[in-house]
Amino acid sequence: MREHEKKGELSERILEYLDTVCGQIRWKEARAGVREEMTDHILSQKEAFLAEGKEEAEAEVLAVEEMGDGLSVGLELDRIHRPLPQWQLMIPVFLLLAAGVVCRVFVDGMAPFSLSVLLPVLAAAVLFFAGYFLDYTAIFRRSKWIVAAAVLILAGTLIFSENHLGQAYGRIFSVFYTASYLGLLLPLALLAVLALVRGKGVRGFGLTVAAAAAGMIYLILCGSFSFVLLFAVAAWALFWMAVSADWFALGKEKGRKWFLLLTGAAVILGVLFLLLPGRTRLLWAVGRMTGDETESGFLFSLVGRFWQNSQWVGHGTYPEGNWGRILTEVTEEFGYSHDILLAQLAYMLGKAAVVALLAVFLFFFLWSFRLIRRQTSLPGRMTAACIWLVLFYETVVFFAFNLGFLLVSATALPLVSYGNTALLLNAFLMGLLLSVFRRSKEVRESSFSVI
Amino acid sequence: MAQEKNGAQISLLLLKLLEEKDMYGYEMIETLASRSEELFRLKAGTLYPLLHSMEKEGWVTAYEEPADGRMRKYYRLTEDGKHQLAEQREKWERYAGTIDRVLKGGACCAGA
Repeated sequence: MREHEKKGELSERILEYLDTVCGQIRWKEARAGVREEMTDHILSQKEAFLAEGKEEAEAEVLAVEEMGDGLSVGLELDRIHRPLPQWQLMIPVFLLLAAGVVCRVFVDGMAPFSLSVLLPVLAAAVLFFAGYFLDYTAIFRRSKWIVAAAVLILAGTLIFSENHLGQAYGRIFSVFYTASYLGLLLPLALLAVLALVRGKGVRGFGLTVAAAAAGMIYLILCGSFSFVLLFAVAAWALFWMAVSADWFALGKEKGRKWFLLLTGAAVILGVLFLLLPGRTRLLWAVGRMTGDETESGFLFSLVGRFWQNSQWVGHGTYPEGNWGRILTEVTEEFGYSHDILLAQLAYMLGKAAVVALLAVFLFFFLWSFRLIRRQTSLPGRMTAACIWLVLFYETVVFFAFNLGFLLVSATALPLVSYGNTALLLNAFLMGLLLSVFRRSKEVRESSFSVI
Repeated sequence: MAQEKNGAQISLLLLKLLEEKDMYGYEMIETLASRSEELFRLKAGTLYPLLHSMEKEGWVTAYEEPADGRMRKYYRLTEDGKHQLAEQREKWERYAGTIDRVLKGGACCAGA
């Protein structure tokens, strides 16, 4: 439609009619689709009248008349084209934000109305709504800019990051952040790469593999195996969805074969990465679960003690001896990393609190999974699936870690655990996920065209 | 109420058309007009709100394809749409059968 308008093929009469109809539709993002469809209809009708032997001007007048009254058509369409607000998912999001505050107050012992409690929640809510109202199709339309920005940011954080205990930290003025948390956004950058190489055949496939490999290397350099795994899972799923839909125009069979080869190669490289050099990574991870409780196995024992001494409802009991003293120090004096937040929450408020949290997450993931399956546009489905996987991975790993499975380190529990970097990025991702769902009836193939 | 009934009947006809093949709006109007000997010639202003409602309900899904140098929006019947078609068809047959029986003198006199 825009092409016709640019070329000036549409007369004033037709443009006026289209303006009248679309002017009634309050949701601006729905207008382009309606306008395109109406234009096609008017032009088809006009061609039919011309074929019947009518003059150009008469054919046009009749074609517009056939459409019906523009004002009432527009009002009727306005009633139908409304964003889908997704209250069912917004409620769990705010319950999780509230759970985060509860944890800060009861686990970290912070004052509920202090700035350091309220400010991050407020910032997270703002970022959630920023993602919610953002038109996610921009990831595809502005993919060149997104890829360029991602390359600059990743290179910049690598060059300027500071290394502490094997982890890379970036700094914005005096605020430090863990560089590997950018891994939460990397799958979206890979999505932008996919948008750029759509239909580009072998070259497109190769470029995407190179981009995924670059993302992996970045996260390895940042020192977080957990984020490497997170990105690998999301990239694998994106590749699978792309190849299944013949995204690269390689042919479905060939695409699937290449995908399987790629998967095999990635698994072999992953195993080598774990075993070399000197199996230190694997031994360290296993040691956390099998080591002596006063040394490498301390965290495992601490998590175990929290659960063993928790009640279903209410504060847990202090055991006799050394562990009683340790639990007192951890809960009442020094605190501990939010990586074992759930074990601490079970101890401070009762296991029921953790079960309730699990129920909220379960509802969120099941409901959103159902919506992802209903997405009719492939780019929309890919975007939602990619965000969903990132959030799901974080949640599963966090729960597993807090139940004593320490082979893969916890990253964050979306919206509940703090570091603030993870809180803010996850809030944005959740908003963006809902943005996909609220626009799902309005996006068209052309919504995703690279500008 | 009458208008609602009318909308339901038209949506039944549209679902039936889409059961046969994917179609775009203008094509639906022409096909419906020709099959009904011009009795049902819908205005675009009636058709599109109905189609878009059906899309929102998940009875049809839409995709775009280039045609005559412009993008054309095609509609396809979904599984939900097939169930809806069967349901609406059954309702219509019951309704039409009842009208028919009444016109023929009512249930008490059928066959008399």
